[in-house]
Amino acid sequence: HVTEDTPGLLHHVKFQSQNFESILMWDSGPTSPPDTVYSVEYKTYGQRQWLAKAGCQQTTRKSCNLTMETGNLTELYYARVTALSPGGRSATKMTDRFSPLYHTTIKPPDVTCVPKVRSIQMMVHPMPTPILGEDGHQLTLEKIFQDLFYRLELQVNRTYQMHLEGTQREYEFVGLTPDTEFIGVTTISVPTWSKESAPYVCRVRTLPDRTWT
Amino acid sequence: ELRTLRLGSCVITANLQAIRNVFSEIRDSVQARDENIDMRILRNTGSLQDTKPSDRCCLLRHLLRLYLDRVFKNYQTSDHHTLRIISNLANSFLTIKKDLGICHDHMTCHCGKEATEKYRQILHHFEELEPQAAVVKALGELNILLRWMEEM
Repeated sequence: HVTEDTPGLLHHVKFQSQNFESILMWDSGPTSPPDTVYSVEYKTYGQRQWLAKAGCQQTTRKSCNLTMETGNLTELYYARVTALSPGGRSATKMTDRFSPLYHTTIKPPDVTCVPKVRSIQMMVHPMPTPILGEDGHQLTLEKIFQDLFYRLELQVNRTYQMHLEGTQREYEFVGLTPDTEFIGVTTISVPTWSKESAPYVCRVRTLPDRTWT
Repeated sequence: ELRTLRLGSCVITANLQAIRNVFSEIRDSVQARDENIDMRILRNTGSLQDTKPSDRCCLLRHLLRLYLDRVFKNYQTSDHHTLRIISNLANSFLTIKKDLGICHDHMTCHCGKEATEKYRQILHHFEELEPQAAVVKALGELNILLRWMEEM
């Protein structure tokens, strides 16, 4: 989308969003002087008014945090950046329509791997998002994505893995050999939105068996 | 992965994820053609999930008919890939509409005042626009309709 453009001042105006932390990013063009300044506006799709984002006016930075401004999951949004070069040249570019639900990607989960003698416990910690519920509390990913589940894999050796999956937060791989190293891999999956996080990986060793010593 | 849609006494299943994945192939290009971003056809005030359960089947049936009869058929493009995607979407919508028709035959797809009024408003927004602009906007808002259905 180009509203007005001096060629080469402004490129790639787009949202990058992880766990609903939504950052507007852009690039300067090949011909834009270093002291070019940028101003950001945003709007809700279907409404008339563009709103200036405080803190991102006449800035030399090339990113702007619009997390709070795009925090209503039933809405869709646009943002636009205006670049102004010292010589008075300007350009404005707009994002595609941004849907927080559709566009946000999922960060790797936060997992604690606890070795025992013949088992390994894996505890997934809740992931709060900046999205506020009707009660004003931060919503977790599980609350937002009703079909979110965890997929856990324990790599025993090159050819053998154990698998667990579910929506609960605590898992235990049992029947393991004491004093042996394993690799735990945990990912988050959201089928309805075809989302899958990058894996969280932990390398952990079961405890030695001191029963008979 | 089939999803169960509870529309009052009418309960159907639909593969919304597959429809969403198909639509995502043309989503950005279709939305980029929508130049009326000050206006929205499917508004939160008229959403399915804010409609009382007994009226949801009727409202959805009307919406599917709007898309089948006036959106998918009339979207003008020379891009064959887009046309194939639209045909795919139309077939998916037709399947859902057939299931709603069965509910209608079993008297579980009642059109109450709420459904009738909400559809009237949506149609009004649609017809406010120049015909092809309305078609482009409605197709670009398909993800809104899918999310409404997911919340059933």
